[in-house]
Amino acid sequence: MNLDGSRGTQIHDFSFGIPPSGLFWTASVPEDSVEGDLDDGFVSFSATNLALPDAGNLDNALHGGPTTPATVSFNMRWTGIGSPFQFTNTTDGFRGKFQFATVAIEWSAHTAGFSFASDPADATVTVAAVIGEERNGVFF
Amino acid sequence: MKTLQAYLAHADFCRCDLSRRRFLGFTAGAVAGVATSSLALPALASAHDRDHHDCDDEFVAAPRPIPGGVTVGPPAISPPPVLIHHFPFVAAAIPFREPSEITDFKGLVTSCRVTGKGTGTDAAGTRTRLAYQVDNGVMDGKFIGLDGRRHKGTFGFT
Repeated sequence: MNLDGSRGTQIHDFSFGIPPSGLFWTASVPEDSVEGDLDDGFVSFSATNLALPDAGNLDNALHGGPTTPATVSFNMRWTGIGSPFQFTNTTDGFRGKFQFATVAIEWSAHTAGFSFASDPADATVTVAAVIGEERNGVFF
Repeated sequence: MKTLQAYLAHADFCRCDLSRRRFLGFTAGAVAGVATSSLALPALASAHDRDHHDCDDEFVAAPRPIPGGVTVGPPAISPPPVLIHHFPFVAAAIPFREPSEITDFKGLVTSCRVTGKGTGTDAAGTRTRLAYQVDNGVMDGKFIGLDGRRHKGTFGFT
């Protein structure tokens, strides 16, 4: 989750970071933070006061530079569009049933001396989104 | 107020009773072709996983990252380039790359890229309109952890 300043230069970069395993910006979250029904075409993901370090910008985040403490709250919902479809990618080694989606998110962030509040969720612009059930690796 | 920070420090959250209310997948008939591939799994991931009590232990180990990904380099970042185990989901078109961040996984997955605007407020109370980009996702299901054992878990990508 990143923010650009008024001049278009990134000023905040909130993520889970990258541990030595290489797992990218991913961490366990409470099971009740995710709800969904793929037959009805929706998945929601929410968090309140999530401790998410601020690396400032992508360059610092990817090179493992210093971060500052921050908290982020969000409520987001994927809504399926079009029909679900089966898809297999043998190059990456995954397959499953997917549905493209739109996303609505409303979020906020707080760091020392700074806070941010997004516009309402219905103002979200979806570049691309997907929901589905998949299997990969040894389950492929 | 519940915080994820507190939750993350509490590792013993094996979840063997995946809630039907919390996550309902596609109907079983629609994924029959997927379900049959369990025959290809190693012994660790065989018929044992068909019941609801197939966690190998009392807590969830860290998952493995997907083996692939993209290399990010100049001009996006300064040298040296960095391989990230992630495929940004930037086009809703087939074919697409792996939406999951973790491998040896089966379950619910979502990914996205969205943009928007909001208002930032500094310590002096000055308000500024800012643009954002969010790449978020979730993974909820079974996986083989770094410890080589089977687990269930819920993961956020952000």
